[in-house]
Amino acid sequence: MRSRSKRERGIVLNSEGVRKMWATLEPEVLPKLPAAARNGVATGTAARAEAGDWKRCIDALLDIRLLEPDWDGQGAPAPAPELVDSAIVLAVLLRQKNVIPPTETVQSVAGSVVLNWQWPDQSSFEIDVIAPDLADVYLMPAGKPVQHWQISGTGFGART
Amino acid sequence: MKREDESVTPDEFVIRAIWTGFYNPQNPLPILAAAFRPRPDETDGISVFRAACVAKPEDVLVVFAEDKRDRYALALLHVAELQKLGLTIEPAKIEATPGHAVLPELNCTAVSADKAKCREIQNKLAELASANLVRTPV
Repeated sequence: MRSRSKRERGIVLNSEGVRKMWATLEPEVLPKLPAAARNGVATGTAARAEAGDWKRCIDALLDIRLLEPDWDGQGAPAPAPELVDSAIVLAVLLRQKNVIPPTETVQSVAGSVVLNWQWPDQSSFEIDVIAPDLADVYLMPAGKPVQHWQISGTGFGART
Repeated sequence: MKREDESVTPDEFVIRAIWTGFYNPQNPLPILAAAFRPRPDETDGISVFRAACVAKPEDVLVVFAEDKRDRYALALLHVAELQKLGLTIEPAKIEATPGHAVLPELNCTAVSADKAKCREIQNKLAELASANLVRTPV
């Protein structure tokens, strides 16, 4: 099947929107990422591998955008296109900030989009985009309590 | 085999069906916690199936649309382990297959109300499921 361009899929990422979305990414996510998630600027083979993994993430998001309701055969809703577009913007911003690509990019049965990072010690980090411009963030260090907070373009919620 | 009107005992196992997208054998934890999230209409909790009430785990796949059945992994979860996590297994009969039950603590309202606590539980369930897969997606 021929892959469709972003324009064909109806995705418009203008710079104004990108600037407004995910305004709290810098103070609320990047400093709290596990050190292993921030690799600085990769070069050579590492940079090419990382670019490929980010491409896989974006491609997965574009595929998620095409999902229809009942994609799981159990009646799960498809994520709203605006929500997926917002997740794509988030992924682009994370890449620009030299965050390593997520381990998994997947829709949830709740209609959200999940970016999940895992490490061999079973610690993990997750950004769950639950609405356009709104995401739950989970920091899950191995053997320690889960930390949860929200990020958005207009403010952020209390940590639990 | 047990009849589904018999009470659930700690020595039983329940089966959780896991969508292929939540399974990757190359990851440190092959099952994502997202495999234990409720759909917005799961007000009574996420679904499991009592292994003691079916001849073989694959029998529970009958509840899914036929063209999607191959895309599910199946994991066994020990009831005693679920109880240690504070979960209960509540039988909830359906026509398609015997042994259907729900985990009421993981209903859509509860999960939204305390996301950190529910995520702890879902992470533990992902660990348990990752260690006890009985079927992988085709």
